[in-house]
Amino acid sequence: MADKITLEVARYSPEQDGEPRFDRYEVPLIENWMVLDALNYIKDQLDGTVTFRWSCRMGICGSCGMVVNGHERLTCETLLADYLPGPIRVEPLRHFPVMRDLVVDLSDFMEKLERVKPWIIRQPGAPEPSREFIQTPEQLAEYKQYSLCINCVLCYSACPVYGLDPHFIGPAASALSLRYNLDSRDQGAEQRLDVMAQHDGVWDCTVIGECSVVCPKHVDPSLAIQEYKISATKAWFKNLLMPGGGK
Amino acid sequence: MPSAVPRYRPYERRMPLLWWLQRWNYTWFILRELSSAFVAWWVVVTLIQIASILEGPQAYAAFQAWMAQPLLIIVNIVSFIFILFHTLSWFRLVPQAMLPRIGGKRTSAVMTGAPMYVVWAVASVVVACFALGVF
Repeated sequence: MADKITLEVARYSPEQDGEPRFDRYEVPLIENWMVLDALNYIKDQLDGTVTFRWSCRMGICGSCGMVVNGHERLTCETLLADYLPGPIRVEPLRHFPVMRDLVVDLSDFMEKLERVKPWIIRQPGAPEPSREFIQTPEQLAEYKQYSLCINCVLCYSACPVYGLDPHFIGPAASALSLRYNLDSRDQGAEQRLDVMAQHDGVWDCTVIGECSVVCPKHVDPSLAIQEYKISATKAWFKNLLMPGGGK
Repeated sequence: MPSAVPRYRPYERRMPLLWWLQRWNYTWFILRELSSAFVAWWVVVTLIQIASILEGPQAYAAFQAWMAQPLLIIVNIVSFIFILFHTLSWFRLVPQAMLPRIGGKRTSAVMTGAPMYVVWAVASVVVACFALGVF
């Protein structure tokens, strides 16, 4: 096995560069080293100006998502050895503005996430529970898959619809929105549907499905969006046949 | 008072024109969309065929002669391939788009997808039997 591997790292300095470039770094090829370890080696030993986000190093925090050799990956769980003989091209996530090097501006995603109200909503006036909510394993299973989303936004980077139309609410926000709708303690589905059933909501999705392919936590945002389409259609028909939603 | 927030100029990227060639999933999607044009062509041909049948044997003979042109044969072969692709791509997509509940439990992707292939195969055999004069 080779003892070194080359990384081509996308660099962009907003103060100096008109557009990104690639800098090459040679790093030791150590067994079990991840791409993130190599980036930290570069920052510590070769070039302290290389900028990237990271935190937990164990696939939980969702901050080290980048595009590695053209595919969205959490760099903390992407082995260097899988890319032998190299070079490994590391780029920032697609579709988001690049702030510096491998760091993208996630403001748009944060705004969208807030819009879908990803928290438990109780109807005003709903009786206060006298004890904790009881949930059966079946009720938990309904939403558990979607609750595993770590907001790493790899799905947004892999979604060409979001790339072509940045108004699209996008995969992770949809999955998290459905996660609360499916929670037996929640009563906010109608409020979320107001956001999700708009044109820029789920209807923009053309079912390419790459969001579900790249998800490192095996969440299925594509399924969430299609389920939302069914809910929106049902609500529309209900409203048509029973004006006022049959309340 | 001037803002203390440092000014930066984020780099905005545009989607490349050939983005749909970057991954097989993207290309598959574009081919699926393109196949809709061939489905539309098949609908038009079927409507013309029905109209000529209703008009009488002479009109239907003219339709058959029209369809026997080499160019139309090529177009129809290509259409057939794309319609087949269209069908299979939507069958493949259904379990990705919905997993209905049976008796309160969600069905698996196989349980959602398999019945469509079975119905398709049975329908194809029935149509083939009619076409070959078995019935």
